[in-house]
Amino acid sequence: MTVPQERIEIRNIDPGTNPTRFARGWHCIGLAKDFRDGKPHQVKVFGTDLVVFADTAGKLHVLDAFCRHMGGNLARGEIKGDTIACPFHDWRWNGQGRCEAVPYARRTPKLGRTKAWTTMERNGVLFVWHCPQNSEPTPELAIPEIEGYEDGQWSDWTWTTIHVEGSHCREIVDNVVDMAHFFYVHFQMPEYFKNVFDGHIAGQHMRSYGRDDIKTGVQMDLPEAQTISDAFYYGPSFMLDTIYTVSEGTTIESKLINCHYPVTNNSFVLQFGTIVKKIEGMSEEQAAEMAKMFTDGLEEQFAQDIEIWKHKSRIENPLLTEEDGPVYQLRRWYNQFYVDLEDVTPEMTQRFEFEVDTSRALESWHKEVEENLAGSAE
Amino acid sequence: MQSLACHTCGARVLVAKYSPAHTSIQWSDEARESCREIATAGPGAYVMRCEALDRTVDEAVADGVIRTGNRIDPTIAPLASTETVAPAR
Repeated sequence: MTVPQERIEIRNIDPGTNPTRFARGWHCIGLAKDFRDGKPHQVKVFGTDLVVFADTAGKLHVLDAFCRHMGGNLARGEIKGDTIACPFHDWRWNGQGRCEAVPYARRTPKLGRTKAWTTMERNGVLFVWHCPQNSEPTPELAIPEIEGYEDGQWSDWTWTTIHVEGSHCREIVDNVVDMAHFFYVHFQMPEYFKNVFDGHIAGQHMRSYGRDDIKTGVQMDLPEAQTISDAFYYGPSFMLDTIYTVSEGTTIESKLINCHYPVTNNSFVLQFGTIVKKIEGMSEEQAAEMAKMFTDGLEEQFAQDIEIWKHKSRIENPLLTEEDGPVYQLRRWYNQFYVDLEDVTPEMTQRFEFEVDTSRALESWHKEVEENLAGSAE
Repeated sequence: MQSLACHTCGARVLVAKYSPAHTSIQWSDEARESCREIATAGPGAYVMRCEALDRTVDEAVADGVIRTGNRIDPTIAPLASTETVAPAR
């Protein structure tokens, strides 16, 4: 006798392979002020090594880390004036990648330039432009400015850096459409969830509450807090999220950066930070405290994402229900950053909207939370 | 997905409904250009929704023009893995 289920074909996971190339786009490599300590900094990114240094005016420059003379590591050298000096033979390289001086030599090699990377400093963070074809960024790809950031209307960025080994960064991008994981992994209760992909931007609009059975710092210890979150990926790796936490007539506005850069094609650095908008009656310390509580909550949440990524399989053919977000369309959008500019198709950039029906999920989750609360009360 | 023209500007989009509360809308570049609400937002501006189009979808659902159906996703090529990189033109 055959059991009916046995006739259903087994669905195999297509694990695919990580791409060997790295995405075209602006990548945030850290807080700008952390690079202004008078020392050069080495950053392992895009399968290579870069050096970041500040010139006498405080402008940050990014060069290939290895000296074109004999391969010395410039990040182990010293900043001298507006140049970075190699620790091996003191060759001096300026921010444009030109050799300015070789103190022991009569002639400075003018023809051998090293690679200077295009940078952008915005909202207190430093970005590096990456393009395998060596194209330069167009102005519309720039990360938008946060209103009032330069005028001190916000607390300072909290900043957390986590190395994730054994995972491709597409895993973190997939989360932008993953409505249900917010309940299971992040202890949020999404009531409204919509994605919009348009050009190089991927938006996520979420209205959620915290779970009553598992509290996190993301609710900022505010009772019955509703979180109104409008998050945007500007390109492949940088998400800027505007969050309003509304509770009993009080609204806290914060910004969250959730960004990453690839180290190899199977590891990446995840970085996130928050700022809280100072409001009337809120002291500098209170704003900082809010931002810290929020960040601590996020830190726990990201730790749970990482736990999932570390142990999951790569999957090219996810099996979806009607209540899942638009994973396939998100990946189609994401592909635009991994193909040559000439190969970007209209499908990758055309506007697409997807509003998830959360009603069935909420019904089930409210029940689960109630059961958990009843269970813990016994 | 089913084809639908906006009652306000005539932009033709593809719509899918998996349930009354779910909506997905696939725009073309042409439809995006004819949308008045997107045009009002300015060049390159991001808009979360076009209210006129959302109304059109709701009306089409009420009139039975757009029917709810099961999920169908597009086939997406895996990430380009080892293709050579062409120099930028």
